[in-house]
Amino acid sequence: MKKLWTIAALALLLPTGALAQDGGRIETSGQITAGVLQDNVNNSSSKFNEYRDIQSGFNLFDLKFEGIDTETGNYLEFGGQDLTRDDQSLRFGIGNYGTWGLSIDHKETPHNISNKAMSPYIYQGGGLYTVPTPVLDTPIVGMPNAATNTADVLATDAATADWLTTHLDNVGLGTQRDETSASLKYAPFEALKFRLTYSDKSKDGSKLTYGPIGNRPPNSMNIQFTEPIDYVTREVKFEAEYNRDRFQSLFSYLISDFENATDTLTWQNIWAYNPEDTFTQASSDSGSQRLATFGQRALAPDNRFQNASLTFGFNLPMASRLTATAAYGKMEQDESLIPYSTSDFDSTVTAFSSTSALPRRNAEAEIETMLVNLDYTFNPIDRLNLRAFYRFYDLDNNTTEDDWHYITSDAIPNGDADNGTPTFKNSRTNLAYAYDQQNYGLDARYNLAFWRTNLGLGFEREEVDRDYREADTDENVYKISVRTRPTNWISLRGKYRYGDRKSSSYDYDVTAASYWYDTSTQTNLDNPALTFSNHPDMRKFDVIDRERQQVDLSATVTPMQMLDLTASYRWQNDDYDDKVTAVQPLADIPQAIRDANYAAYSDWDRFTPGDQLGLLERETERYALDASYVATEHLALNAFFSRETIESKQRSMEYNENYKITPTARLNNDLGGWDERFDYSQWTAITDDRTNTVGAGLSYQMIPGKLNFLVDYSFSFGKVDIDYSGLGSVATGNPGSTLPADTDQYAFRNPSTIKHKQYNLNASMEYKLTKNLVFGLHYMFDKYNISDWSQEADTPWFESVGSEFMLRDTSDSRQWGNRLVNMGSYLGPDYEAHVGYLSMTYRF
Amino acid sequence: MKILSYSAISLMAFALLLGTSTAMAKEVNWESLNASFGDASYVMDANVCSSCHEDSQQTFAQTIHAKVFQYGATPAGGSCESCHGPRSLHADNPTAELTLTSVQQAAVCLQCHEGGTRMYWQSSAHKTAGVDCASCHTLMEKISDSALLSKADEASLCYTCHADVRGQMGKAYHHPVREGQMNCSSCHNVHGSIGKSLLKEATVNETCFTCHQEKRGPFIWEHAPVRENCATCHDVHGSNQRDLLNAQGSFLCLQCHSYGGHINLPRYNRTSNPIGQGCVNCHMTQHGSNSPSGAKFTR
Repeated sequence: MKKLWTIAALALLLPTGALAQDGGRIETSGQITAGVLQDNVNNSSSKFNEYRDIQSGFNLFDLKFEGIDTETGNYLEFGGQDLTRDDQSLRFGIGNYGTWGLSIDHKETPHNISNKAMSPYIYQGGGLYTVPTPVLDTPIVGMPNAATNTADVLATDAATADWLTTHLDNVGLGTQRDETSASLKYAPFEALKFRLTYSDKSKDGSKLTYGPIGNRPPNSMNIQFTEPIDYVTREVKFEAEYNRDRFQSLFSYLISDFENATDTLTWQNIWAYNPEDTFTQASSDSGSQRLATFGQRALAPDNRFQNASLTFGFNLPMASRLTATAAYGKMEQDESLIPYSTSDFDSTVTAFSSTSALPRRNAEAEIETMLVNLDYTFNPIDRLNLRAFYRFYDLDNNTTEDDWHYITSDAIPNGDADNGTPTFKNSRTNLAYAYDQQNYGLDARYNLAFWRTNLGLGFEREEVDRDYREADTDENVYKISVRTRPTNWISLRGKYRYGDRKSSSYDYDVTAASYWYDTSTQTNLDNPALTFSNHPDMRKFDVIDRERQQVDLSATVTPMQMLDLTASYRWQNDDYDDKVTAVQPLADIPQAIRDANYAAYSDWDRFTPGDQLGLLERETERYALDASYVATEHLALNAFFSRETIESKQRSMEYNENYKITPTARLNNDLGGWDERFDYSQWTAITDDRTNTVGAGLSYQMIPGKLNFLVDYSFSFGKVDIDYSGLGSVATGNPGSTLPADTDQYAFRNPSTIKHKQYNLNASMEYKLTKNLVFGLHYMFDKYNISDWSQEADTPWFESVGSEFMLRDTSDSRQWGNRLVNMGSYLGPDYEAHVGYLSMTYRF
Repeated sequence: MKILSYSAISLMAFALLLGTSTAMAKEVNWESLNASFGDASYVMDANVCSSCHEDSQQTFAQTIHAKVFQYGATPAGGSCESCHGPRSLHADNPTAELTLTSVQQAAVCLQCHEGGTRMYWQSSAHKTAGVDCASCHTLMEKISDSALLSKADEASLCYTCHADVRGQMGKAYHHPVREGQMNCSSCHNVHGSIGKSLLKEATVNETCFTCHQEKRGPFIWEHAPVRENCATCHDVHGSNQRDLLNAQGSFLCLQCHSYGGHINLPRYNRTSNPIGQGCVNCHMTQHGSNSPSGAKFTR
């Protein structure tokens, strides 16, 4: 297909070649760069060609052609890079300068995720993954809470590891994105222009996904595998411009249709010994589950997006200008729905595997958006520029809300299967989240009479109202800036921005609206609609108070004509202090319910600790230094350095979810209650993320006009550390705990540093043999090192069984929620590559 | 039916657009830019200019402006004087008196290029920061393949001022700008826009959806912060965390969620936590789910 694109494009150029002979009426120009490349990449890592397709052999690096009819002004042009490769781009255009034009663009973008991924699954097409034989030939046993049945569980681990050695096979992991667009432009007369664009975007391949089966950790069994990607998006965009001296207008309409050729992902449960049945039993001393023999979920649904916008610009007296936009958008999808599960689990009450059990058969999902944007700039007096602006954006969610049961990850406790009713926690209403946002403000800029100095002051207010979210927010932003140029060779800028965001009263229990069971009859201790689904002290950082400060400084210095120095600095700090106070989440439970169901308990008046949980603070600093020096007419040098540090602090709290209604009733060696503030209940994590980048380059005309040498080098080093303290990181002194003191409740410890190092060196020597012919010798060195504990098979808390493909934790817990069959560690591992190529460029 | 619709729309529009005409460029009010132009008139002869500026004319001839002026809409001032103003006085006495400042040069450009995607230029962040057309564009020479940029590639030009973004793009997980598969203008309208941070579309999400259409939904089960702003969870220029996340694995989710049990902290006896993609190991439809059993994004 790729060669077809290139051949077709070249074929279109043939007639122009003939016309070029027609007495000089046709002027042509262009260039072609081709060569031979050889690469040597150790490790065959996908990361080397993550977003490109460097290949050994003959390469057509660049092709440009342009032909103009000097009598009529008609033209034909063609351009292409890296032709026939998976990262090629082509452009073809014909038209008449200033009147009309037709351009066709084609671009291909690979995303190679892994060359070494392995999976036991065989893809049958249509989103179905199966295995030749399951791991077990008996029902699953041993998902204990206590350390019973350990021998059985370990035996299943060993059987799985053995089974994988015979069933694992290499699978491709990556996608290819191809985009072709044709755009027709036409200007019938001076003021009016039209543009019509059709585009076809496809994305094929596979990406990473997971297939848990089992109602929740520690009772879910998980496998990492591939999800098929087969997307096509077709779009038509129409634009019309009408421009006069003092008035401009632009209308645009877009319709975009996304289609996914694979609607549903279905995968076989590799541990289900009886694939001809729809479910298998998994027994444990805490109860038994029925696990479906196939897991299933809906993939990205087909959807349609339409957007129409109209923009006007008016140049008004006093050098003022008004620009206004109104836009309407609509996103919709009405995909046919799949059932709750692939199995009825032998229920005689509810057909979980039939869509008849659903409240509706189609998605009926729709979102409408509306935008109004007004911008007015004017100069009331000389040197003073003012800007007033208003913006309103409304996202209205019209998706039908219904009451659903659901089956958690294709598994159901035996009791719930028999009575046909999933647990009350699985009775949920889908909520149509929506919001509207308005921004308005005033900016002023004043030019001072000295040093070409410009002072700026600004104020902006943002108001966001939300449906089904914990809070609405309002933010006042104050801005001050200065720009000055004291001499011709130095330019300085500084900017400070302060934002004070306030939230309305935080409703930690807003998601209670998504539970629809009868709370008066549900006596289960874990009852989120009766208690809470998120700890009341938790604050979701995107909807709470925030104090934001930002400082930007930059300087450009040109001490000599041939030397340029630029330095910039940014500091931004977000403080999410939401003034949390202790609350009594059970106080609102009606007395009648307390008396009827919980008469034995007296925890209704317990308070939360009142320490804010969630993201508390995030601080970012960026430095950048750039230097360029033209040493001589033939020698130019440049260098750069940049550093970014991001430090974020978050806090949370461990508590037992099974004792929400009776937090004081937990056992001594169990997790604490939500009401307690002990050293070992709360934890904090400070993430320190730092990236340094340095580079230098040189361009040297060794023989001016004949021989050029270019070289550039860059090195990027990223590091991430997590400083974790609290539960699990220190001896908790929990008197009831029988576990090792420093791993109480298996909580986290400080991991090793995550490191990414990228080295790049490019060197080229180009020799101009004749006016039209240039030869080049090129070398590229590319090296990547990665160290990431979350991608390794063996860490302080995880171990591999038999190979890197079967993982389990190193604690003494034998529960099955701690197993993960995966496709291998470091899917995009280290590499070192040497690439050399000879090139020839012919210009005509 | 959809295919027919697209074909019908395209064919009808193409038929409507067939035809030829000549478009004329607008004339600039030169005297308002520089009063010295008041006594000048157009020379209307490029040979007069080339007697001194032949080198510039040779490189200019390769640019789109030269071709449009030559073969298409020739403005009142001809090829040189359409942008440089009436040069009769300069031809008689070649001094720098009729030089234009960068702000005045921008006014010349805007006489033709104020519409379309540059409608919001006057109120844009770049304009208010003192950036003018000549800051990024070189009109007398074709340095870049398109848009008459001052550098051969767009990202290098933007890094001149936004050097910190170069460092971000160099991180292990990034949008493919440094590989040449995307440009800054893939997401940003540098001339001014209705979106924040000069984004091309009205919101962050609408900009992301131009390539990630599969995330548009809408979905039965929405993840509210996802619907509101992709940047709540992602550092789009580059990140040291996989999938461009702005925190590592489960630590990101734990910034908002504390339900109890396995959702409260990173526990290393759960494959839901430290290994792989953390919570996403089970909650893989975190962008929204269309499965009836997808209320917790495990389906």
